[in-house]
Amino acid sequence: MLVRFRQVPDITDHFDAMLRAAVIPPSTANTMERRVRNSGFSALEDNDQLTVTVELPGVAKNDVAVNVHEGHLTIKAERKRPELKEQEHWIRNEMNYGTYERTLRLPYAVDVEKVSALHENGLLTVVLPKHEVAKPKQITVR
Amino acid sequence: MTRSDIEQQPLITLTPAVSIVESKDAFLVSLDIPGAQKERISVNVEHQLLSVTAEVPAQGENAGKQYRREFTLANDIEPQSADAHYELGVLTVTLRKKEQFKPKQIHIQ
Repeated sequence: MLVRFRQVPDITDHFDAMLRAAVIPPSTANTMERRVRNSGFSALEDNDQLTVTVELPGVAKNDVAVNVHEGHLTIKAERKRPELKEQEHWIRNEMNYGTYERTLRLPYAVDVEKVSALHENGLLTVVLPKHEVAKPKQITVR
Repeated sequence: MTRSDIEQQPLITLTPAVSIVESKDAFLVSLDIPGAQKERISVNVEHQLLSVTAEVPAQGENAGKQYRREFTLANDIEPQSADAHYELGVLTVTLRKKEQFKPKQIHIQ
């Protein structure tokens, strides 16, 4: 007969201790405002292209889909909840799992053939080069 | 704005989301730190304090970000045992339990 004896101090105390000093909260209102603005999505335009970045930590490359269709960019992603092995359990989990979807209407014609996407270190970067007709042109005044 | 003005812009400080899994002999502490380079992440264990900081430099108009979070470790963790890896923008720190705190199966004879 086997008896399992768990020689661990009270687990609640344990993680209370671990988490008590855990959060160093951003203390100013200013910081809060900045956090909202940095929600993990950004779209930057320059003369030649639009660069869209989305923070997708924990998302495998195969679970990201990028589509350009009829003047819209659609990004879909799924973050799967890690499966725990036997004898593992959650102590705390603040992460969000499930699907992410965002559609952006493109402000100008893009060269669809040249659109590229890179997912690296949990950061998706989509580069959408402008179509020639959408690029600004300097007109020489005679 | 001059180049040095841009460089002096403060970093935005963020508290990364955490998940903690306990297994038989270790705790796995995972933190969402998207977009960092491995070299810009630092994990320190000192005096029962685990501290994680990471920097994601500014890119274009996106301000730089600093991630920071600290945890007090209970005394059943072996501080020297900590190791860390970074994958898909998630940092996972493994903290092993001290031998005497691991569950044991006792065979009754």
